[in-house]
Amino acid sequence: MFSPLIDQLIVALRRLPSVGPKTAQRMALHLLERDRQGAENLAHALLKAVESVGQCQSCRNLTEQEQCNICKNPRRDQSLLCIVETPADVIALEQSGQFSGTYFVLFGHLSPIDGVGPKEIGIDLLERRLDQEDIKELIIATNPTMEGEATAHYIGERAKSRNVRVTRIAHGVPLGGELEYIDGGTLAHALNSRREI
Amino acid sequence: MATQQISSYLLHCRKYTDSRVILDLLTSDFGLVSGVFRLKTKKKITTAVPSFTPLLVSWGRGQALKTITDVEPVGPGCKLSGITLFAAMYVNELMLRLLAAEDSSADVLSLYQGVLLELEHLALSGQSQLAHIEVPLRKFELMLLANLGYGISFSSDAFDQTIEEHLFYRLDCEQGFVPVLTSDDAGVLSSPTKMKVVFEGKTILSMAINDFSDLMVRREAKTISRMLLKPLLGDKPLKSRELFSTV
Repeated sequence: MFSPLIDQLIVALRRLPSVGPKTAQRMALHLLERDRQGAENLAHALLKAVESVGQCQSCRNLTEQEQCNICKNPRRDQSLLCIVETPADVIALEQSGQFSGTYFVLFGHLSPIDGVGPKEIGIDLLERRLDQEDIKELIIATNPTMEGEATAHYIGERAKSRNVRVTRIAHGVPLGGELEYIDGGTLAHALNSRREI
Repeated sequence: MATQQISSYLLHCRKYTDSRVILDLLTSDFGLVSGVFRLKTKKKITTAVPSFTPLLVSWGRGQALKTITDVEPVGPGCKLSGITLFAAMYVNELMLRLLAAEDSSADVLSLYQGVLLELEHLALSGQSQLAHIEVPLRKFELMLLANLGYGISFSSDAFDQTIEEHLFYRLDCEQGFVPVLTSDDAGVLSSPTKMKVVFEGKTILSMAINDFSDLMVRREAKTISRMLLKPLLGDKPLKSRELFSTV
């Protein structure tokens, strides 16, 4: 329906999560009709990010520096390492304001059927860190899915063999949640990890 | 045509869109079924489809990829953790690699249920060493192969003669156990590089009665199972085997 370049832009925008054909069309037309400067800035920022952003040498999080700001920060507790699946999990934990240690980002979880094994999630780098650094506690914050649990166990065993304390974040009823809407598995977890008040 | 409330287990779940997933299910009447399912969200809490849990699944139209309309857990999930969870993931990968789509076999579902319950029992009784999970896994592999038509006899050889305790046999994946009798076969037996492909009658007979208590029987059962699975799995190894390397 549109000229080839507009079609190409719409197809490119559809790569984004939650963007279907209609939304991509709206975005493309908005940029071309009303915000040409914004479109140029977007293109420039995208190109620059793709060219420069890589992974932190210590935690594998996305950064354009050799070491990310969290790993470089001397006020962070370097003996506390939190294992997460994605960079978005780092942001979520940072927003909680409760964690002052450092992170290690797996970029996924163990999923043999999808061809993801220990090597693909950077276990070799994690083991090197456990061997070389003075890490006292490993907090495993992988998701409470089958694959997340398997990943937690796999990492836990490797850390324990190096005498590192291993903990797992608690799972259960979310704050503000209502019991009647929570599935049986989550409730069972919540009951098993109940604590005295 | 719509299909209603079929007993199933989830083997694998892949993200399709933000709210939809592709489920690979092991079903009682239709074998392996894949379909798109919209995850239920109530009050911003998304409920995932549980693994290792008996389900009742309904689906609508679709040829290769169905539209799954409903997934209901009908019982508690198997409580697996640690190495038993790795074992169950291995079973899932094996099932997905070996089973053909919609090739129905009710026995495979009960076989799957059986191995999950055995693994759960091990997990709950604290028997979480590699040696513990080997027995249910070997039994499962050999029974699955038999169910798919690739089984071999452990009580009689390729020539329908009873397996003799004191004899040695080599494995022909299609025919079964062949006694090592000729001078060529004796060469196989004496050659150190090929020694592993020769099995003692005594251990084969132990496997025939599902007695895996002896370490040698477990080792040889693993070799036999791998030899039988190899032509079916092709060159691509099972990725879940990597999980066991650390434990």
